[in-house]
Amino acid sequence: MDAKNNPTGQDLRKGYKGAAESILREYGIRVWSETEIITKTGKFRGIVLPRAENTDDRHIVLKLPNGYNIGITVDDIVQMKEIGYRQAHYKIPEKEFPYDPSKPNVRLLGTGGTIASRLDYRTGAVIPAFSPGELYGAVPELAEIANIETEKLFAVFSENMGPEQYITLAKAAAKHIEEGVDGIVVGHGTDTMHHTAAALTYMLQDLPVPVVLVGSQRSSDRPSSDAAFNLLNATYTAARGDIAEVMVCMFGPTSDLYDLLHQGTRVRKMHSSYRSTFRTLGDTPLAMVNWRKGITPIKKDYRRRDKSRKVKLDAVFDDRVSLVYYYPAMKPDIIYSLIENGYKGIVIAGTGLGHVNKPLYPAIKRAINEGVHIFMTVQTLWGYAQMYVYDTGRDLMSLGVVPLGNMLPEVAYIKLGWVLGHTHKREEVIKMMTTPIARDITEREPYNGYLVYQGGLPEVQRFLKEYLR
Amino acid sequence: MSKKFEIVAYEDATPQFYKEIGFKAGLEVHQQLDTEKKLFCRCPAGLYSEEHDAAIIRHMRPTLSEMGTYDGTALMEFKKQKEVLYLLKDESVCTYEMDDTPPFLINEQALEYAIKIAQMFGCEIVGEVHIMRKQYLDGSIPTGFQRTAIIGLDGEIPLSDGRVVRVTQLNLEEDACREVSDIGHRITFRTDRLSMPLIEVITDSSIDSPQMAYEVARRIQALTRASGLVRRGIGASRQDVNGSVAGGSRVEIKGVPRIPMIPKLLHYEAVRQKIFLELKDEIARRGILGADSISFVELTANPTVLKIPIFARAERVIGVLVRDFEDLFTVPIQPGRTFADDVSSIVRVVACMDQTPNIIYSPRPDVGGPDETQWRKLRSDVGARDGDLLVLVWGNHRDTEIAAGEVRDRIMAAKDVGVPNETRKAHTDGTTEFERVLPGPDRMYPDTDHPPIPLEGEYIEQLRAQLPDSPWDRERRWRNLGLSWQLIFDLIHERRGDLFDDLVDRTTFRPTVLAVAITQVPKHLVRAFGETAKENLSEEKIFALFAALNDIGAPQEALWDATRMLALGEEPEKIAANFKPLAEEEVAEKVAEIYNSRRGEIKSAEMEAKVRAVMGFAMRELRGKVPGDKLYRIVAKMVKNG
Repeated sequence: MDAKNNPTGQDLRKGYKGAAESILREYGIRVWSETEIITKTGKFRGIVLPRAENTDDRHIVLKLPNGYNIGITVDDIVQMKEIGYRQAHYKIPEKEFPYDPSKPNVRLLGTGGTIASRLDYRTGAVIPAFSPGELYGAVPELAEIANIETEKLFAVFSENMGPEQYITLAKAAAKHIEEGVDGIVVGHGTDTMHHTAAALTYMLQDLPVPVVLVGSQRSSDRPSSDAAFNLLNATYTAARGDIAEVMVCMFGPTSDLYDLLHQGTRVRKMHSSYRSTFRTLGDTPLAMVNWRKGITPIKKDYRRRDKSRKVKLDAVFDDRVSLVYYYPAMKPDIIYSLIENGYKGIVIAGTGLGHVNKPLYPAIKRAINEGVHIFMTVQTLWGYAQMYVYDTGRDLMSLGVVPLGNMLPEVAYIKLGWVLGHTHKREEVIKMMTTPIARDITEREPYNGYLVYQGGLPEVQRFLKEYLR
Repeated sequence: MSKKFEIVAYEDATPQFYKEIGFKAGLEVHQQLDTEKKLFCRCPAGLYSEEHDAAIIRHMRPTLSEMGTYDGTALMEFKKQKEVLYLLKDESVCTYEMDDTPPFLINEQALEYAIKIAQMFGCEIVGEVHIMRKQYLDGSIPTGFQRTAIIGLDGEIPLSDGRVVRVTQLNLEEDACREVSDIGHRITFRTDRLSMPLIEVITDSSIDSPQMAYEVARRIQALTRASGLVRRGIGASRQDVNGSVAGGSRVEIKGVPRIPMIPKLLHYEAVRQKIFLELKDEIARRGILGADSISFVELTANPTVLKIPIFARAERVIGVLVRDFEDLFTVPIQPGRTFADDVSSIVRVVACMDQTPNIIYSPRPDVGGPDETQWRKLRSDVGARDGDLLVLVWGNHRDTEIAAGEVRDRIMAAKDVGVPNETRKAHTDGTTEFERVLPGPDRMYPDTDHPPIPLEGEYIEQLRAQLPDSPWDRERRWRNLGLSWQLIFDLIHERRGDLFDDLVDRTTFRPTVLAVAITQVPKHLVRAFGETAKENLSEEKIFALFAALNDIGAPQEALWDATRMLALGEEPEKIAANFKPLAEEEVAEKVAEIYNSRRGEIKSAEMEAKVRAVMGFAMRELRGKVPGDKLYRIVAKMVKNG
């Protein structure tokens, strides 16, 4: 038996601990052993599977010949015997990705997430699989669109993405763009995709080709996954689309009909599990895409693809920034604690048009005196911070809080980190923050942008009945 | 022994026939649980509607099993490239059913019901429940998999002849969607039934005749109903039936809605397998279907084909030429069905060609196909010799290619495997047709959305203590109480078993009288007085009434009249007061009164006849107020004393 099939120590009993681990050891049973187990009440036969972490130590997981798993109580076990060994080779069939010189070239950058994935027995979770061969094995239609090469930058879940990863990602994308690819696709977990989209927007300016972030809300280990459709649409957008912006490409409606292309600075995840979780806020999406039908622009004024343009890489970030979601009765100690811990920038998501309560004023005043940059956004997400309307707003501005129009709170947080990576001079910081980049602040909110439909109303019900969504 | 390719009629089959062909069968009975809510979300269970408020569209892709392989059925489904349309109704569907929310923790009521029923079958309960995903790419479940878990293993079903069929496993799982239509590349489902909790009871394959399968199904039904924890009505229970013959393969007949259909379906499946085995032998005997004996001929631009109306709109026409197979292709396999019909079903399912005929293998001018002359021309164009089979398939590019491949593969399977594993759809006449390839264990993988559920020993024992008797234990007990089979049947059918047991415990009325009073009597009353009577005759009210009658010492004859008053809406306590038994002297007084006033009407001088006559008059007035035997004693004494 080669070393790979003969692991040592804990690996032999992967995930088992305490009583379960010791009884397996006692009878010389390994994970993937085909085993006969005699308990006080019956006899079972199957393959001992690895056990997920964070589960108890009182059960052995057995895969029965019919494919079902059951847990056998350790205390009931009388006897165990290994009668065979069958390790799973859990692998997406890998085929060489075909190259066609007449097709555009797309580079797929992997950060983790669930575009293509397999199960991890230790955690019971889904882990990503990403080589071009694996992708081609899982989604062969990709070859109809483009030639794809992949680079796995990291394998982290979305919540573990941060400034360090933004910078690495931006640099990698810039390098591939300079080398002449026709578009970049970034596979990304969905939870913080909009943060990364904003970061890439600031760090990759004057893009000549599309940079498309894509993920899935139903992991690709499920037959109903949205991963393949999203990946196909993102690849199509990167390879053939005319919009040279940083975009998020995810389901439009919950049906498999089309994806929406969202501007990286105007997009937000709005539902914890729905497929069509990403929405453009304060504006309309850039376009609709279905790789079999093409791209249907919604906005007309986007930056067009032009490979002669040079990308400007500007990958800096000062992570001493915070996003404070205001709530009634917030106490000033929250702000003091940020000052004392050395934070240099604070974005507040205020109520209504951009408000916080009076008790915070002294803390805000002190923060600004000590050189902390404070900006105001709105927690309504839709609409502008308009601080001239009420006294509170005017008071806050006189303390030095700067409103950011209709910039989304998360985008403001990312932008502030990026700006502070350039300068800490108050005037410069304010100028950079308030100068719109890629629609992060818009002059006009289109009247048809805000359409938060309320289910149950007769007209909405009629819409739902008549249109697939 | 039957003759080669003979379709033995169901009515003519003897036990000897099944023995000779080595018949074996097993059952998978699906039974919905009577819970308030669905299994993994909090939607109400059991709300059906033929209308919808919204629709969504999805597609399915196969995924890897836990052991790292793809399932054959999954790949076949993927070949079909179906678009799936789900119809949603507000009150019965939330974001879980439409696969836009992960499962909530399992419905504990459903888990408890499943454990109890498993215990009633005498199953071992698992130490820890692991929710699995069973892939279904046909679209019947929007996630693409059914969440299912083993609750119990190794139970038993005792039969009337003393034999025992084992329950190999009992699963708790979510129900699938209801299919509305399946046309071309679009299949439509209603989602109201989706994700309702059901149990699946799987037996071993020791069933050796279709009639035995019937009894096993009835027994499973009786036990699940006796639990009082299951739903009833159309669609609440469905059977999958597995059958095979020696040398054949396990073939599953899916979704048999009624138990009486089982024996005939199994019989004709056995016949089909017998014939396919004979066909395999015949192919070997003739030495046909060797390498290169099947070829595809491109006929899209064939001048004859271009003149045939049925091909007018086809993007592509392919001829499948099979050497020396013409006569065997039309071997009958079931009443009214031939091998060719089975192949046509496969083409319909896999290549989504649902307009019949979807294959042509002889002149078919009746449907706009080739006439005799055209057919001869085509055969000669493809180089068919006498005895060669030519099958034509047509349609769009992709589907036609798939169809041609399926025709070839199925014919080769007749030589290589004889009877392929598959699932088949039941027809009411007892025949079946191809539905899909039989899925294997490779379609199972763990559900990472739901943690394993440890079942504590104490909890299991607590549930065991609450179990009703199994129907077979109960039947034995009721027989010992003197109940007839008819009364036992009525108690089960009317679902009055628990009430009966409670009344036997609580009162001193005779069990047979009680059984009649709570089954047949209410049935008559409901017929006579309608729905309000049904409400008035609730278990609680009957129990209260009978207990009250018992406590005041009412005779059992009172039960009938009292029940009638209950049906008319009177209160149990008030009714009971009417049946307070008369004291001995009061009865004697009444009898004397009746005797004196009706003396003239009594003709007979014979003592016994006189007593009977007076008894008749007395009963009319005193029934229910004095026990019959007591009344008889008083009447007899009075008549004899003059």
